[in-house]
Amino acid sequence: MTTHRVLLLSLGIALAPALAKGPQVQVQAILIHASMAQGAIDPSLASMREALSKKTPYKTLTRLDVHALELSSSPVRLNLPNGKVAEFTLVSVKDNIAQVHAKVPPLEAIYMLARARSLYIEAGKQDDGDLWLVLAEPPSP
Amino acid sequence: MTSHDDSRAKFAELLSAYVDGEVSVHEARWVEQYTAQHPDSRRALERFEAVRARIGEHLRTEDPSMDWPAFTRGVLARLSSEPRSLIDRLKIAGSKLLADRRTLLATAFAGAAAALAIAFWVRPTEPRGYGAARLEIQTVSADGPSRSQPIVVSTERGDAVIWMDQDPQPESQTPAGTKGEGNRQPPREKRL
Repeated sequence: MTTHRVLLLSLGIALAPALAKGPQVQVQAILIHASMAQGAIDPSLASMREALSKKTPYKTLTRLDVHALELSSSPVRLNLPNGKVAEFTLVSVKDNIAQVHAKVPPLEAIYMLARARSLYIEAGKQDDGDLWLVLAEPPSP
Repeated sequence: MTSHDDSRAKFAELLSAYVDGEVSVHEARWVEQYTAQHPDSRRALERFEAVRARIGEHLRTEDPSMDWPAFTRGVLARLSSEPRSLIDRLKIAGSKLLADRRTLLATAFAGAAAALAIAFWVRPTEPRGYGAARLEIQTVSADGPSRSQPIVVSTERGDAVIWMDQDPQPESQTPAGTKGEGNRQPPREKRL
């Protein structure tokens, strides 16, 4: 085998996974426990409190967990602490705008991602309050 | 093809084996008779023997410090009929590869490193799929009791909120979609 063939083979092997991959989009899924009980608002959730203030003025917002999800055409499942299972699928990426199918029983939505914007989905009851799922752009590395 | 051509072809075929002493007595006699009758073939045979002798001499003198008896024993040991363990075979293959293909391996590693550098260089510098200015809900639906309806609202900031309205009030709430799979509708949004 000649040297340049080895070189080309190495290049092919190294680049093949990247080229073979379909579109993928990173999403951050944050699980929030929200309650009307007197408590503390996580400072990082101030924008969420503001977004929900006219619907339900929660007095306690606690970040339970954060998951980095890599969405593709295959569904990604996420077990929620209240026993539900959420499911996310990348529908398409067109003009650098991703379309995502989010299923948080009983809700199901298709939405388009936006830079530095969040989607808040009510995910049912959790203990003495509500469980919310926040889908957002992951922080820059 | 003539008989003369056949003889020349046979001579060419037997030449190397004859010099190495690997022909039968009958074939050796044929070569000797043929070269006696054909001076040009005789010269070819002599040249071949000279070259072979020079190669042998070169191999012997290339490294005078080489312990040829030990080398021979090593070769014979490798030719042993006893099966070797997988680790031994891997060691032998690895040392042989390093000895014979050092340049090739270095080139392959350099190529892989270059490929990784290119892959790193061409990777997107910003997250893909976040090109929109506002988060847009396209469809929403919900399974559940007929009294439950999904509500979608968008905030001034450009975020969106979806929740289930357990006790809808048609005058004040805006149902976003309809129930069940296959019956999705664009949500009617309202602002919080």
